[in-house]
Amino acid sequence: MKGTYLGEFQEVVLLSILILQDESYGVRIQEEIQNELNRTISRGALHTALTRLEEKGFIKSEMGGATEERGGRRKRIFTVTNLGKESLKEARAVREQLWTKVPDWAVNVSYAVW
Amino acid sequence: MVKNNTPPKLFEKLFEWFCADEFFEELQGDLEEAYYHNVEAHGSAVARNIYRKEVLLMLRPSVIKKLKSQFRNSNSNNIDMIRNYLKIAVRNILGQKLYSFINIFGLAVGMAATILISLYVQNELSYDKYHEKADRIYRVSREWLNQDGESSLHLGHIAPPFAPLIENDFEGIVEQAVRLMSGYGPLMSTADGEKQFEEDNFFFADADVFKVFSWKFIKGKPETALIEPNTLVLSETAAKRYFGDEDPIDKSLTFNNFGIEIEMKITGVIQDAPNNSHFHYNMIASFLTYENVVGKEQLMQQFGSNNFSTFLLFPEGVSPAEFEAGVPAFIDKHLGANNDGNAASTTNKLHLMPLTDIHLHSHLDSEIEANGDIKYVYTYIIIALFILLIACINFMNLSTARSMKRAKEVGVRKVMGAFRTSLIRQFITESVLLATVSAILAVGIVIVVMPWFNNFSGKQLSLTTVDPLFFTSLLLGVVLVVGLIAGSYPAFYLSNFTPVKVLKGAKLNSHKKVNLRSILVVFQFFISICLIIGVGVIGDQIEYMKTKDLGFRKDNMIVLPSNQQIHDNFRMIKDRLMKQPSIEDVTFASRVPSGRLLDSQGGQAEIGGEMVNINFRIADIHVDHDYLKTLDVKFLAGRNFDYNLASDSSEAFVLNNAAIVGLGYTSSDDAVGKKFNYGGRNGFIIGVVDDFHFESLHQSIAPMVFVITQGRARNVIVQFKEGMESEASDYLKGEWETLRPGSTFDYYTISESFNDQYVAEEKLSELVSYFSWLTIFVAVLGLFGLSSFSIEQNIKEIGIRKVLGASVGSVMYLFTKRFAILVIIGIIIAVPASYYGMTEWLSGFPYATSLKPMTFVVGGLSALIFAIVTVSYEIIKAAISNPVNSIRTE
Repeated sequence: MKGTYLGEFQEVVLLSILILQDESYGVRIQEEIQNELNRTISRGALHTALTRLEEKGFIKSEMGGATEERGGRRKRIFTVTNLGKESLKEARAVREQLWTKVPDWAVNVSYAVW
Repeated sequence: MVKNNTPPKLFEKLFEWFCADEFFEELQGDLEEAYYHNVEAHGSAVARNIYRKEVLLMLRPSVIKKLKSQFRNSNSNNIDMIRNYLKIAVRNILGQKLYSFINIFGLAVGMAATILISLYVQNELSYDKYHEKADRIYRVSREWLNQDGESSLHLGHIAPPFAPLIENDFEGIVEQAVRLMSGYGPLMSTADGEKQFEEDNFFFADADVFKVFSWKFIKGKPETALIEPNTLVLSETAAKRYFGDEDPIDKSLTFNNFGIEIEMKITGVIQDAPNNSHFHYNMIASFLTYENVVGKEQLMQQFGSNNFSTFLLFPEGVSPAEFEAGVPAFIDKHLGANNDGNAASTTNKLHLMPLTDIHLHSHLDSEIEANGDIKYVYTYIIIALFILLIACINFMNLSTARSMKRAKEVGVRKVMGAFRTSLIRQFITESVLLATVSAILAVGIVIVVMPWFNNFSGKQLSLTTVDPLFFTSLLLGVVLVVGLIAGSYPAFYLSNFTPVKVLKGAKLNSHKKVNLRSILVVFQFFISICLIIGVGVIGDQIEYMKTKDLGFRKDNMIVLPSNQQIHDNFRMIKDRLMKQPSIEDVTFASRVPSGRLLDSQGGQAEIGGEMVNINFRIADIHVDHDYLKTLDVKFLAGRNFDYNLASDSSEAFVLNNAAIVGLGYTSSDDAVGKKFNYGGRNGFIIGVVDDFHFESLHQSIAPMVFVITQGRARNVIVQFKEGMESEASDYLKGEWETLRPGSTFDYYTISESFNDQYVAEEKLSELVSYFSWLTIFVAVLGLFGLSSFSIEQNIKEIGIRKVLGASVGSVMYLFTKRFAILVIIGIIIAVPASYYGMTEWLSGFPYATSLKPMTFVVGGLSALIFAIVTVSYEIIKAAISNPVNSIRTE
């Protein structure tokens, strides 16, 4: 089913939200991903992913408290829904099942020498 | 806090503008939070850059406001309202046919002029840009200074040794230096002699010419085409002319000029030179061909033979300034010192000009082809903008004048709850709609007028070949600019009405007040009158140049080309020609009046008993004994050349008055008999002629010396008897065909050739006159609209006046006066403005006409008459109508 499909980036976002718990709002998620995955993402790209996830029902959000740092603006705190958790687990299960089928020798890194 | 310690304002605003409302708060907050983190981590400069980037990366569908949702959310009947605006606009246009016509037609004319001139200007600016390396190609020109450091001559052609020497001495700074030299119209013929033509655009060029210029090869290879002597590359058109559809490669053409015959092998065919090139070729032969004829050693000594267009290609990243810095040392190294011991670089300069600037900015004493002029480009742009502006003013004036009609509509809309912004939007929609209709009409006008414009401007513009992106953006730009500029004033004006007042029917503005509308009308007529006066003055100047007494007899003179055979047998040919009843006189010369004086040499003159170096440029003309007599030049002192004195052919000089004055002789009598050396010839001044205009009136009269030289007769001048031009030319045609077999017979007359010099002014005059009539037409159109509206408004007043006994004349006077005053104010401002402007323009001519009061009177009066005639049509109609018709209804 197309709706439950989880893209790689979306998976990372979901996991970050779970890691951050109460602190899971835009900038923090962005920073978390940048630190953990060591890649730069824009807030705009993150916004698109969050919107998609919310449309699919994997996350929900509510407006949280404002801090002075943000010029008094409120932040939107994201939480992962049960559906989101389910699909995360499913994605993980699928991968692990696939991993069990991969022969050991196939993932040994080899360098061609000649 | 540091001053810069906030996110970039502009991007903050931008984000606020495009971000959907529902996300704005959180995203804005996030951006700001991230910004302050970044300030701490990387400093504010980096943080600001990251912020900017983040904002731009927010430009994605999930963030941006939805257009539809905006309409739906904020005002559900927005779309209906826009539909309503359009409907009302269309009704207004159709309901007010006269005003709509004036508006649309005026705007269309203005836009058409703008489009045409934009296409023209774009073409003018595109010259030579098609070369891949255009930005790295420069032309070298050579300037001579006299000892006072004044420029005496500046040629676009330089001597043949320069290019190889530059390539050698500036290694690493100059990548390529190539020469092109004209073949001076050789006769080219196929091997079987079947086809032969004189080729005007024939060049000898260095083999590397194709590394510099990127003309496309259709056949042959650019690298090897010209590396051997006697090889030739043809343009596509030339190839077709000689060989039809056959493959010309490895076939040959025979070159015939200067008494030299060379068989040349064709090694390539290239595209025709694009129209927007500052010179055009038909054939390019290898430079080695020419070098073999002259001798390489010999050629490298010819520092005085400035006939070679030389172009430099600089490597990427090298500034031409590096070359220019080395030029003086380079000149001293190769030219040594002048006669007077000063370094050659004090009187010789080499200049660079970017290839792409040549067409519009280069006006040297020699050019490959006549160039355009950036001044004319500016003039055209200004004129186009004027017309457009005048049309916009019409639009503004008619809209505000008609405001009474719309006032009630505005009042009702406001009462029903319309915001001022939505009213502004409505009126701007209306004006953009009108502008769009006008633009469509304008394109139609452009299509119709294009052939005429091309014919006139010598361009080959066409809407089909113009870059579609350029054209659409041009059209869109014109529509938006006109729609917004012309629409905004009426929009703000109309939307400002107070509903209570307009609905009660209060009169909005009385015509007695000086209002913006009157000022705009004055401005329109100011511009139109300035242009009309300008046309008049340009016309006066052309007339002056054409009719000024040049100081010699220019009528009835035919100039014919000469060649070796004619040189050698000149006396015989002359005797034969003189026997013809239609021919009065025959003479020959190196230069012919109306041409340029480009040759000069150095010398000494006896002043106060001593031989003194001549420290200014005296141009030389090589003539035969009869030259001055034929031209009927007035002698101030001394005598003309005499056949009976053998020494005259070797040691006699005739100078003009400018030369005598320059040399410092007290009088022309004083000069006669003095020793004079020139160009290695030692002799005496035997006569002084009065100054006469040898060159066109664009040039001051140059110091000249006439000497007798056999064998430099480039031109034969034949004076025919008054009224016998056709007999003379018929006879000469037969004669010349036997003397120059294979050549086409063409000749020109000196008076025509003089007039040809003023083509640029004539074109300017023609263009300015067409466009100035257009501006006055559009302005008058607007005045017509205003006057008929004013009559419509005051039709009852007219009726009552008539009932109370006013005569038709007094009614007419009353109403005409209102408009005539505006035009008269326009005239009062235009006269001094154009006086100043045209004095400036005339100061560019050494021989200028004086400003005639008549020109100003004609300009002002014609505008006034046009205005009055237009205005009175409606006024007369109203004044003679029966008052009953106008006042019986309320």
